[in-house]
Amino acid sequence: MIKLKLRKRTREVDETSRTNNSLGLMFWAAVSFLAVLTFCAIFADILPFKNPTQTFKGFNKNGPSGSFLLGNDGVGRDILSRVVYGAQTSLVIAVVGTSIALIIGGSIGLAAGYYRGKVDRLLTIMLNTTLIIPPLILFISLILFLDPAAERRMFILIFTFALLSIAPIGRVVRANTMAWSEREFVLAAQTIGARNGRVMFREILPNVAPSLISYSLIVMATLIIVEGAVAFLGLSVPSPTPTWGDMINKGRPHLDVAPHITLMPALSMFLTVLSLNFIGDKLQEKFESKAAIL
Amino acid sequence: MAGSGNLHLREQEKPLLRVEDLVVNFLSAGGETVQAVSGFSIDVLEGETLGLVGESGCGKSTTARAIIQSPKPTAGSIQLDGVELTELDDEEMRRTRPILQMIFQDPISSLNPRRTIRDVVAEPLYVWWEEETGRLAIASWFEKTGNLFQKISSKFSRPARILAPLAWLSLIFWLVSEASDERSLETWLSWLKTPAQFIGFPVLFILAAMAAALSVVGAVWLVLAVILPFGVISGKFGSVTNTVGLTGLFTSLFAVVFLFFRTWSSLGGVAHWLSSGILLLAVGFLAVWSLLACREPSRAGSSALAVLVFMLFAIQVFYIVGLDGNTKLAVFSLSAAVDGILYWLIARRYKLARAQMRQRAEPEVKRVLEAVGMEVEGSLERKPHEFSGGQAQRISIARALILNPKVVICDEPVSALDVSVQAQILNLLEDMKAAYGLTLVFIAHDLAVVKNISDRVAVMYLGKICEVGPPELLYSAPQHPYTRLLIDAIPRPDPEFDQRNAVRIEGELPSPLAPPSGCRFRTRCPNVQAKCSTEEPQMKEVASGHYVACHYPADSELNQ
Repeated sequence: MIKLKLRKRTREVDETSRTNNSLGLMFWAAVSFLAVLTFCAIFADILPFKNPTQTFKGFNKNGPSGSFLLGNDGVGRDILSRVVYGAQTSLVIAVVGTSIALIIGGSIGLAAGYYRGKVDRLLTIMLNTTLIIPPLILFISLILFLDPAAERRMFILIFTFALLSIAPIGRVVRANTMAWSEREFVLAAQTIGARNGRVMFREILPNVAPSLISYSLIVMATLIIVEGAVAFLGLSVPSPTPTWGDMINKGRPHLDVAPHITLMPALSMFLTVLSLNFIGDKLQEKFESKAAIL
Repeated sequence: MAGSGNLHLREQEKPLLRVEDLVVNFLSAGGETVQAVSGFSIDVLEGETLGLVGESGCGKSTTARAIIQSPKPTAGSIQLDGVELTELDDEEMRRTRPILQMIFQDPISSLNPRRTIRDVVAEPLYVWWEEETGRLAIASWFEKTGNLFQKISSKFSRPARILAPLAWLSLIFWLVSEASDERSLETWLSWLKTPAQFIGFPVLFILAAMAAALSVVGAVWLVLAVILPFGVISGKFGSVTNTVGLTGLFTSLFAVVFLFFRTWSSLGGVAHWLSSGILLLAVGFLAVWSLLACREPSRAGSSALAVLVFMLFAIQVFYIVGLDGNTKLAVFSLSAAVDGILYWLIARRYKLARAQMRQRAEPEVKRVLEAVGMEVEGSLERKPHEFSGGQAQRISIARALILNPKVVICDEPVSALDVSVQAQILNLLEDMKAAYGLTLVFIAHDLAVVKNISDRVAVMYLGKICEVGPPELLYSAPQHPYTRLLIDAIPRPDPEFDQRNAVRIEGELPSPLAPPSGCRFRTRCPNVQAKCSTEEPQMKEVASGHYVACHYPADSELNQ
């Protein structure tokens, strides 16, 4: 006789807490889309994707088919693998650019909001100075001046994106830090004898972090779009390397006969940006409602 | 009222806290000076409770903040146990803080919403324990390495003085000869082009020189060149130069890394600028770290670890990005595994340290929480917003008490609480005072609140003291018209007494931007005289221990 072990279900489901804590199906859909995209982008070399620069003769402008899931572009290259390799560029630029901006802008904002006074004025001037730079002119001049050979475009792009995102992130952190520094627990921490660094990182940063994280996700999404725009102008990573913006640009002449060439990279960009924005918004919402209890 | 003079200070009795002629001015947005506190003097004996009363905006809280030096007062002297707080620098003040604690008005706002009660209450202990252990570990490390340097320097001090310049000279010669080689000159110039190089060229140049020396002139020469000079001075300048010596050691270590990257980056492409970028970052961190280490060794410990971890991570990321194909996968998984183990070890160590600290703090936390009448079971892991105002105030009292302070400044601790809870908290403060032998400075805007717990009450008006005295005298025979008005304003549970018939205070508090001349209270005083606007009243004794700053106190002939 087979003995069946039955596990009793005793887990109680607290309806109210569940609705408060759940982030919704859309949130997890967005997270998993980004996870799959990131995974494919990192391991594109190993996964069974076709060579993104190889042209397949006779497949020019072909629509999606069994062997080319997203179809072929104007010269017969596999769009799926180009989208995946393009994600590499977009994600690296967005993630690294935002991280640099996060570290620099975050520290600047934290210091400015915490110390106030002269430190604040000096740092705010620094932040505002980066805001007056017209981004496009900065790109063009940096690319032409530093590296017309296009060898280090990626570095210049990341550098410029980081430079441009420092100010917005820094200002968000500064405003948040100022608000939280008003709280008496900050004075209490100082009264205990905690050093300024400890007060900033242990007391203030955990409170600023939620809005900082959700804001930087939105910055990341913006950077992906800006990278697309820059690539459209031909200023991004040069041509044989696939980027989404470049793919959209190259598909433009064939829009009437083969719209999928433009559509596929545009769609992936759209979904990525949408996911990032959605995750950012959801996180913000969740943390805000939590903070509202106080 | 609102007079000056220090007659009420008790010189002969050695007060624990002594504030003399305290002045706090702020610069308003319009550039005008806000005279928040002007010439405030008070003293508090050990075990005494001082009640500080006044209406909103009179400078009570500013005085409290000035006493804890945050912000520092404009002028005046604050002595705590004979130590002049205004003359301490930030670090000395920080070390004095445990004996001078504060309880705040808004109980919820004074607790960090993201930490559990256990951590909130134990945080003072964490701060000081971590510092202690960090200092000890670093100190012993420095001692060891310092001894090594001492040894080397004593043995090699004479040859080093000759050899070190020779080493550097040969290095420069080698560099010049290398640079004159056409191909390598090109390499140097290409380095110049990278943006990272553009920023940090001098630093990189020196490091490159070291690295080159390491590979060509030989490791021995560089070691002699870098370490020995530091060793020589370390004998003269003590432990600070040991830090410098260590920095030299680290620099040469990084030079090795740099050399490795230079070889790798000769493969070209992205790797080229990446390596210089990492190096720049490393040098930056190293510079910050050595500066910190020089200023205070206890701060260098954790930041050194952070630098190492960060460096490791950055190098890996950039290294992996530069690879391709199956090599990438292999290196990625290998380094991920190594990283995993490393970070797991660090996290475990950290958690362990944290858990140990929590465990060590637990009896203390329980003791103070029980002392303030909190239910310990079940509340340790909760967040502040799960408590009521009264409970939160108990928690912040517990936090203030855990360091065994001598003086506790209570900045309107009951103003934000229910009347029923107010009494509980006041009783609790009384009990704590008796149990721990505390000296309290109790600030309130309500005379009734301070009446029972104070040994001495000071009434403040617009940054100055009007009247000081023991509560029995001050409440039964108030001398200053302002005190009388305040006492009349206390609601009485007497149906016969019509509150509306009491003398009432008219008007608003004058602007502290331009306080009235003479007596500051004259604009609202019911018995104002001509003298009041010209002459500032001085403190005078009207009864034993009862002082008033008024030209015409209640008992004077004029009012009879």
